[in-house]
Amino acid sequence: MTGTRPGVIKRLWQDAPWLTGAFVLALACTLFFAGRFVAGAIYWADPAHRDVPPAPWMTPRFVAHSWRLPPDMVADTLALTHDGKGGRITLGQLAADRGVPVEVLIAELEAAIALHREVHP
Amino acid sequence: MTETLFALVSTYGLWVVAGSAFLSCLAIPIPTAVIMLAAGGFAAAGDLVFWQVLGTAWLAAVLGDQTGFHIGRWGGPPLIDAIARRTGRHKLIGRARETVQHWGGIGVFLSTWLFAPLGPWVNLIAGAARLERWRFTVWDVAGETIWVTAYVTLGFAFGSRLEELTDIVTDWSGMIVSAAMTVTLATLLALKLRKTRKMR
Repeated sequence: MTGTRPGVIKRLWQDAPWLTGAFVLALACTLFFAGRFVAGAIYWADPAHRDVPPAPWMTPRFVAHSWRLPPDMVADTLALTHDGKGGRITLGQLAADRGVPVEVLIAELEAAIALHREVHP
Repeated sequence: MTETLFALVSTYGLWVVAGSAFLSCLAIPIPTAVIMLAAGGFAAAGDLVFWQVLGTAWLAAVLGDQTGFHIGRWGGPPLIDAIARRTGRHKLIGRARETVQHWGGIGVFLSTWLFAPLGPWVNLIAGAARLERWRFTVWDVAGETIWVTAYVTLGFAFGSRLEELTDIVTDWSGMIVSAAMTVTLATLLALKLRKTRKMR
Protein backbone atom coordinates (compact mmCIF):
# COMPACT_ATOMS: atom_id res chain seq x y z
CA MET A 1 0.00 0.00 0.00
CA THR A 2 2.67 2.49 1.04
CA GLY A 3 4.65 1.46 -2.00
CA THR A 4 1.91 2.45 -4.45
CA ARG A 5 0.95 5.72 -2.72
CA PRO A 6 3.67 7.98 -4.16
CA GLY A 7 2.94 6.58 -7.59
CA VAL A 8 -0.75 7.41 -7.32
CA ILE A 9 -0.11 10.95 -6.09
CA LYS A 10 2.45 11.60 -8.82
CA ARG A 11 0.04 10.37 -11.47
CA LEU A 12 -2.76 12.53 -10.09
CA TRP A 13 -0.51 15.59 -10.29
CA GLN A 14 0.24 14.74 -13.91
CA ASP A 15 -3.26 13.81 -15.01
CA ALA A 16 -5.31 16.39 -13.11
CA PRO A 17 -3.13 19.17 -11.70
CA TRP A 18 -6.02 21.58 -11.07
CA LEU A 19 -8.25 19.02 -9.40
CA THR A 20 -5.40 17.68 -7.27
CA GLY A 21 -4.36 21.20 -6.31
CA ALA A 22 -7.92 22.06 -5.31
CA PHE A 23 -8.13 18.85 -3.28
CA VAL A 24 -4.91 19.64 -1.40
CA LEU A 25 -6.11 23.19 -0.76
CA ALA A 26 -9.51 21.99 0.52
CA LEU A 27 -7.81 19.45 2.77
CA ALA A 28 -5.50 22.16 4.15
CA CYS A 29 -8.51 24.40 4.83
CA THR A 30 -10.29 21.58 6.66
CA LEU A 31 -7.27 20.96 8.89
CA PHE A 32 -6.83 24.70 9.49
CA PHE A 33 -10.43 25.16 10.65
CA ALA A 34 -10.38 21.93 12.65
CA GLY A 35 -7.28 23.12 14.49
CA ARG A 36 -8.80 26.52 15.23
CA PHE A 37 -12.03 24.89 16.36
CA VAL A 38 -10.24 22.59 18.82
CA ALA A 39 -8.11 25.48 20.14
CA GLY A 40 -11.26 27.58 20.60
CA ALA A 41 -13.03 24.78 22.43
CA ILE A 42 -10.09 24.30 24.80
CA TYR A 43 -9.95 28.03 25.50
CA TRP A 44 -13.70 28.06 26.11
CA ALA A 45 -13.53 25.20 28.60
CA ASP A 46 -10.92 26.94 30.77
CA PRO A 47 -12.74 28.55 33.74
CA ALA A 48 -10.08 31.29 33.89
CA HIS A 49 -11.53 32.75 30.69
CA ARG A 50 -15.10 32.84 31.91
CA ASP A 51 -15.44 36.56 32.53
CA VAL A 52 -15.31 38.78 29.47
CA PRO A 53 -14.10 42.35 30.05
CA PRO A 54 -16.78 44.98 29.26
CA ALA A 55 -16.42 46.37 25.73
CA PRO A 56 -17.91 49.43 23.98
CA TRP A 57 -20.33 47.29 21.93
CA MET A 58 -21.96 45.79 25.02
CA THR A 59 -25.17 47.04 26.53
CA PRO A 60 -25.53 47.43 30.33
CA ARG A 61 -27.89 44.44 30.40
CA PHE A 62 -25.42 42.38 28.41
CA VAL A 63 -22.64 43.14 30.92
CA ALA A 64 -24.97 42.12 33.73
CA HIS A 65 -25.87 38.89 31.92
CA SER A 66 -22.26 38.11 31.03
CA TRP A 67 -20.98 38.63 34.59
CA ARG A 68 -24.09 37.12 36.21
CA LEU A 69 -24.88 40.36 38.05
CA PRO A 70 -28.26 41.91 38.93
CA PRO A 71 -29.14 44.22 35.99
CA ASP A 72 -30.06 46.98 38.47
CA MET A 73 -26.57 46.96 39.93
CA VAL A 74 -25.05 47.72 36.49
CA ALA A 75 -27.76 50.28 35.72
CA ASP A 76 -27.16 52.06 39.03
CA THR A 77 -23.41 52.10 38.48
CA LEU A 78 -23.92 53.75 35.11
CA ALA A 79 -26.54 56.10 36.61
CA LEU A 80 -29.17 54.92 34.15
CA THR A 81 -32.77 55.88 34.78
CA HIS A 82 -35.21 53.01 35.01
CA ASP A 83 -37.81 54.28 32.58
CA GLY A 84 -39.29 50.83 32.12
CA LYS A 85 -39.18 51.16 28.33
CA GLY A 86 -36.34 48.69 28.05
CA GLY A 87 -34.46 50.72 25.46
CA ARG A 88 -31.04 49.54 24.36
CA ILE A 89 -27.86 51.57 24.39
CA THR A 90 -24.26 50.45 24.02
CA LEU A 91 -21.57 51.50 26.48
CA GLY A 92 -19.84 53.28 23.59
CA GLN A 93 -22.96 55.29 22.75
CA LEU A 94 -23.59 56.06 26.42
CA ALA A 95 -20.05 57.42 26.80
CA ALA A 96 -20.40 59.49 23.63
CA ASP A 97 -23.73 60.95 24.84
CA ARG A 98 -22.13 61.98 28.11
CA GLY A 99 -18.93 63.25 26.54
CA VAL A 100 -16.65 60.94 28.52
CA PRO A 101 -14.11 58.51 27.07
CA VAL A 102 -15.55 54.99 26.97
CA GLU A 103 -12.45 53.70 28.79
CA VAL A 104 -13.39 55.79 31.81
CA LEU A 105 -16.93 54.41 31.79
CA ILE A 106 -15.61 50.85 31.54
CA ALA A 107 -13.07 51.41 34.32
CA GLU A 108 -15.84 52.66 36.61
CA LEU A 109 -17.95 49.65 35.75
CA GLU A 110 -15.09 47.22 36.38
CA ALA A 111 -14.38 48.83 39.76
CA ALA A 112 -18.05 48.51 40.74
CA ILE A 113 -18.13 44.88 39.59
CA ALA A 114 -15.01 44.06 41.62
CA LEU A 115 -16.60 45.67 44.68
CA HIS A 116 -19.86 43.79 44.11
CA ARG A 117 -18.00 40.50 43.81
CA GLU A 118 -16.24 41.15 47.08
CA VAL A 119 -19.51 41.78 48.91
CA HIS A 120 -21.38 38.91 47.17
CA PRO A 121 -18.80 36.21 46.53
CA MET B 1 -15.17 43.82 12.47
CA THR B 2 -17.22 41.44 14.65
CA GLU B 3 -17.46 44.10 17.36
CA THR B 4 -18.98 46.49 14.81
CA LEU B 5 -21.54 43.80 13.94
CA PHE B 6 -22.38 43.29 17.62
CA ALA B 7 -22.80 47.06 18.08
CA LEU B 8 -25.10 47.18 15.03
CA VAL B 9 -27.27 44.43 16.51
CA SER B 10 -27.48 46.07 19.93
CA THR B 11 -28.26 49.47 18.39
CA TYR B 12 -30.73 48.56 15.62
CA GLY B 13 -31.99 45.21 16.91
CA LEU B 14 -34.46 43.31 14.77
CA TRP B 15 -33.93 45.52 11.70
CA VAL B 16 -30.35 44.34 11.39
CA VAL B 17 -31.45 40.72 11.85
CA ALA B 18 -34.12 41.05 9.15
CA GLY B 19 -31.93 42.93 6.68
CA SER B 20 -28.94 40.65 6.94
CA ALA B 21 -30.96 37.41 6.82
CA PHE B 22 -32.80 38.62 3.71
CA LEU B 23 -29.80 40.00 1.84
CA SER B 24 -27.48 37.09 2.60
CA CYS B 25 -29.99 34.79 0.87
CA LEU B 26 -29.38 36.90 -2.26
CA ALA B 27 -25.62 36.21 -2.31
CA ILE B 28 -24.69 39.48 -0.63
CA PRO B 29 -21.82 38.49 1.66
CA ILE B 30 -23.10 39.42 5.10
CA PRO B 31 -22.15 37.25 8.10
CA THR B 32 -25.75 36.56 9.11
CA ALA B 33 -24.68 33.67 11.32
CA VAL B 34 -22.70 36.08 13.51
CA ILE B 35 -25.64 38.48 13.63
CA MET B 36 -28.04 35.72 14.69
CA LEU B 37 -25.63 34.57 17.42
CA ALA B 38 -25.38 38.15 18.69
CA ALA B 39 -29.14 38.68 18.58
CA GLY B 40 -29.57 35.44 20.55
CA GLY B 41 -27.06 36.69 23.10
CA PHE B 42 -28.79 40.04 23.48
CA ALA B 43 -32.10 38.19 23.85
CA ALA B 44 -30.63 36.22 26.75
CA ALA B 45 -29.50 39.49 28.33
CA GLY B 46 -33.01 40.93 27.99
CA ASP B 47 -32.22 43.52 25.32
CA LEU B 48 -34.20 41.67 22.65
CA VAL B 49 -37.03 39.13 22.80
CA PHE B 50 -36.10 35.57 21.86
CA TRP B 51 -39.18 34.63 19.84
CA GLN B 52 -39.11 37.95 17.99
CA VAL B 53 -35.49 37.37 16.94
CA LEU B 54 -36.34 33.83 15.86
CA GLY B 55 -39.46 34.86 13.92
CA THR B 56 -37.81 37.84 12.22
CA ALA B 57 -34.73 35.90 11.08
CA TRP B 58 -36.84 32.99 9.87
CA LEU B 59 -39.30 35.13 7.90
CA ALA B 60 -36.55 37.26 6.35
CA ALA B 61 -34.53 34.19 5.33
CA VAL B 62 -37.54 32.46 3.75
CA LEU B 63 -38.51 35.65 1.89
CA GLY B 64 -34.91 36.09 0.71
CA ASP B 65 -34.80 32.54 -0.62
CA GLN B 66 -38.14 32.98 -2.39
CA THR B 67 -36.83 36.16 -4.00
CA GLY B 68 -33.70 34.38 -5.27
CA PHE B 69 -35.78 31.45 -6.51
CA HIS B 70 -38.11 33.73 -8.46
CA ILE B 71 -35.22 35.70 -9.94
CA GLY B 72 -33.85 32.37 -11.19
CA ARG B 73 -37.27 31.36 -12.50
CA TRP B 74 -37.70 34.61 -14.35
CA GLY B 75 -34.19 35.16 -15.69
CA GLY B 76 -32.86 31.62 -15.84
CA PRO B 77 -34.68 29.84 -18.70
CA PRO B 78 -33.90 32.44 -21.42
CA LEU B 79 -30.26 32.43 -20.32
CA ILE B 80 -30.04 28.62 -20.34
CA ASP B 81 -31.73 28.48 -23.78
CA ALA B 82 -29.21 30.97 -25.12
CA ILE B 83 -26.32 28.92 -23.74
CA ALA B 84 -27.81 25.75 -25.22
CA ARG B 85 -28.19 27.40 -28.66
CA ARG B 86 -24.71 28.84 -28.65
CA THR B 87 -22.84 25.80 -27.36
CA GLY B 88 -25.16 23.12 -28.70
CA ARG B 89 -24.85 21.14 -25.50
CA HIS B 90 -28.54 20.35 -25.19
CA LYS B 91 -27.86 16.90 -23.81
CA LEU B 92 -25.66 18.13 -20.96
CA ILE B 93 -28.10 20.85 -20.00
CA GLY B 94 -30.94 18.36 -20.09
CA ARG B 95 -28.99 16.12 -17.76
CA ALA B 96 -28.32 19.01 -15.38
CA ARG B 97 -32.07 19.74 -15.34
CA GLU B 98 -32.83 16.12 -14.54
CA THR B 99 -30.33 16.22 -11.67
CA VAL B 100 -32.05 19.28 -10.22
CA GLN B 101 -35.45 17.62 -10.60
CA HIS B 102 -34.18 14.50 -8.87
CA TRP B 103 -32.00 15.96 -6.12
CA GLY B 104 -33.36 19.50 -5.97
CA GLY B 105 -35.41 19.13 -2.80
CA ILE B 106 -32.66 17.70 -0.64
CA GLY B 107 -30.13 20.05 -2.26
CA VAL B 108 -32.18 23.09 -1.31
CA PHE B 109 -32.64 21.69 2.20
CA LEU B 110 -28.93 21.16 2.85
CA SER B 111 -27.89 24.43 1.23
CA THR B 112 -29.98 26.44 3.67
CA TRP B 113 -28.16 25.28 6.79
CA LEU B 114 -25.38 22.69 6.44
CA PHE B 115 -23.70 24.30 3.42
CA ALA B 116 -25.11 27.78 3.88
CA PRO B 117 -22.55 29.55 1.61
CA LEU B 118 -24.07 27.67 -1.35
CA GLY B 119 -27.62 28.71 -0.47
CA PRO B 120 -28.10 31.76 -2.72
CA TRP B 121 -26.73 29.94 -5.77
CA VAL B 122 -28.83 26.86 -5.19
CA ASN B 123 -31.93 29.11 -5.01
CA LEU B 124 -31.11 30.67 -8.39
CA ILE B 125 -30.34 27.31 -10.00
CA ALA B 126 -33.49 25.72 -8.57
CA GLY B 127 -35.55 28.55 -10.03
CA ALA B 128 -33.79 28.47 -13.39
CA ALA B 129 -34.15 24.68 -13.69
CA ARG B 130 -37.87 24.99 -12.94
CA LEU B 131 -37.97 23.05 -9.70
CA GLU B 132 -41.62 23.04 -8.61
CA ARG B 133 -42.42 25.99 -6.41
CA TRP B 134 -44.08 23.94 -3.64
CA ARG B 135 -41.17 21.52 -3.47
CA PHE B 136 -38.70 24.37 -3.20
CA THR B 137 -40.75 26.08 -0.53
CA VAL B 138 -41.29 23.00 1.65
CA TRP B 139 -37.60 22.00 1.70
CA ASP B 140 -36.45 25.59 2.04
CA VAL B 141 -38.71 26.34 5.00
CA ALA B 142 -37.58 23.13 6.73
CA GLY B 143 -33.92 24.02 6.21
CA GLU B 144 -34.20 27.65 7.24
CA THR B 145 -36.01 26.59 10.41
CA ILE B 146 -32.97 24.50 11.37
CA TRP B 147 -30.50 27.26 10.39
CA VAL B 148 -32.24 30.06 12.25
CA THR B 149 -33.15 28.04 15.34
CA ALA B 150 -29.63 26.62 15.68
CA TYR B 151 -27.82 29.96 15.58
CA VAL B 152 -30.27 32.01 17.61
CA THR B 153 -30.51 29.28 20.27
CA LEU B 154 -26.71 28.90 20.43
CA GLY B 155 -26.44 32.66 20.90
CA PHE B 156 -29.11 32.58 23.58
CA ALA B 157 -27.47 29.74 25.49
CA PHE B 158 -23.78 30.70 25.22
CA GLY B 159 -23.90 34.34 24.11
CA SER B 160 -22.56 35.72 27.38
CA ARG B 161 -19.15 35.09 25.78
CA LEU B 162 -20.16 36.29 22.37
CA GLU B 163 -16.77 36.88 20.74
CA GLU B 164 -15.39 33.47 21.64
CA LEU B 165 -18.65 31.78 20.68
CA THR B 166 -18.54 33.50 17.28
CA ASP B 167 -14.99 32.26 16.66
CA ILE B 168 -15.86 28.70 17.61
CA VAL B 169 -19.01 28.62 15.48
CA THR B 170 -17.38 30.19 12.39
CA ASP B 171 -14.45 27.76 12.64
CA TRP B 172 -16.90 24.88 12.94
CA SER B 173 -18.87 25.88 9.85
CA GLY B 174 -15.65 26.59 7.93
CA MET B 175 -14.54 23.07 8.80
CA ILE B 176 -17.82 21.51 7.64
CA VAL B 177 -17.84 23.36 4.31
CA SER B 178 -14.18 22.63 3.52
CA ALA B 179 -14.57 18.99 4.59
CA ALA B 180 -17.51 18.65 2.19
CA MET B 181 -15.39 20.17 -0.59
CA THR B 182 -12.52 17.82 0.25
CA VAL B 183 -14.79 14.78 -0.01
CA THR B 184 -16.32 16.02 -3.28
CA LEU B 185 -12.90 16.65 -4.83
CA ALA B 186 -11.62 13.27 -3.59
CA THR B 187 -14.57 11.58 -5.29
CA LEU B 188 -13.91 13.44 -8.54
CA LEU B 189 -10.22 12.49 -8.36
CA ALA B 190 -11.07 8.83 -7.73
CA LEU B 191 -13.40 8.82 -10.75
CA LYS B 192 -10.73 10.46 -12.89
CA LEU B 193 -8.12 7.98 -11.74
CA ARG B 194 -10.35 5.06 -12.63
CA LYS B 195 -11.03 6.52 -16.05
CA THR B 196 -7.36 7.03 -16.90
CA ARG B 197 -6.52 3.57 -15.59
CA LYS B 198 -9.10 2.05 -17.90
CA MET B 199 -7.68 3.95 -20.85
CA ARG B 200 -4.21 2.55 -20.34
